[in-house]
Amino acid sequence: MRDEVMHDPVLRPLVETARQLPDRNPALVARILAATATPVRRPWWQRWTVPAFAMATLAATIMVWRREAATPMVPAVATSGTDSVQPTRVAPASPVAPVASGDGVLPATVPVRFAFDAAAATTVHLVGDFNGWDATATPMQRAGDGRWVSDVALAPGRHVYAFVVDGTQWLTDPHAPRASDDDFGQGGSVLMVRVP
Amino acid sequence: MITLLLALTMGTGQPDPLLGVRDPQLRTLAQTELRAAVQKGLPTAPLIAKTLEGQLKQAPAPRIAMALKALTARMELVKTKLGSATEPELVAGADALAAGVSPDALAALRRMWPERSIALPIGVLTELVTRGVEPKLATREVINLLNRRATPQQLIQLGYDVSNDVRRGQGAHAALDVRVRGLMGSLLPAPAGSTAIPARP
Repeated sequence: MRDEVMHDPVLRPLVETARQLPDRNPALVARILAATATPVRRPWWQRWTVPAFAMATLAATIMVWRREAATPMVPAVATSGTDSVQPTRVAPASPVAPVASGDGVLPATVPVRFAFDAAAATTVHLVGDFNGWDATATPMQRAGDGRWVSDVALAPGRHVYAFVVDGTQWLTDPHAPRASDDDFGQGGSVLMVRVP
Repeated sequence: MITLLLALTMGTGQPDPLLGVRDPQLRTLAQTELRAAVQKGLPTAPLIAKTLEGQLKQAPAPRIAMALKALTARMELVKTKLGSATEPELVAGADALAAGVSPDALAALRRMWPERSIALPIGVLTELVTRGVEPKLATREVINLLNRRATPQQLIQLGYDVSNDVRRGQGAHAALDVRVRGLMGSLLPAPAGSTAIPARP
């Protein structure tokens, strides 16, 4: 009977794919294989019911497997220790892929929420080493009560940043440690992005 | 040839990397420095970022050009000291040199982690020195921690804690001493035959 299945152009790729699945749920894979090993002498509608069911089950299994295999989003605990830059659990802007560094494994990025109080501002942009100091790259959103916020994905480690208000005014974070700047004389703020 | 290299490095067909530079004089000066960097095998992205940073801070064009020259020189020195270096390592190393970390300290970090990115420990070292820890002491402590297999997470936490302690008014050396002692208790002893640096008394 298995040979008959392997000669069936519809069932054969199904069976081969099922055999390549990781050993996540052997019982389910076995059930799929068993389902495909049914007699071939059936009415036309029955002949398509089993493959269709098997196809749907296999697709669901692959989806579950791929979800399990995907790297889970690392919960953010990165904080600057200030009132201004706050931890958040928003999804990162880019996929979180683990990278080996030292004896531990670090996520490539950690989601961080920046917040800045500027009630009278028309626009506020976040600038820093993470966006190439591009004053147009990261506009902040007005969040009410004069607060502006922006969610960005940052690599773990040390970052320097500042806020640009109304396109021209350079302001540091009053709640964060300062970074000196010998080049231009206007330092930024420092954020140490931590990981869980 | 140099123009060709610059075009290749910056990506032909890509938007002009200096598009955001409004001042024609600054644009010309920056292009000169970018070409020089390409000729030396250095990345141009940090120089473009430095140009935009200077423009944001409304620095005059000649001053920005000086900053670009200084950054190129620092990245070149980092590259020499580290052997091969990634862009994050070059940038972190250049920042560390600007903060007062010695080039030899960077080389020592590379010896500790020869096949891993040292951008993160360099960043922690920079943070410690920026908070007021004497560069030699900061270097010794970071290398000791790496020697004792401190994780990247622990290193980041150290920089974070010392930084906050100093902001609360604690002396930089005292803060480092307390935090390192707290961390050492959870680390393995230095491996035998390692180039251990003597612990402080």
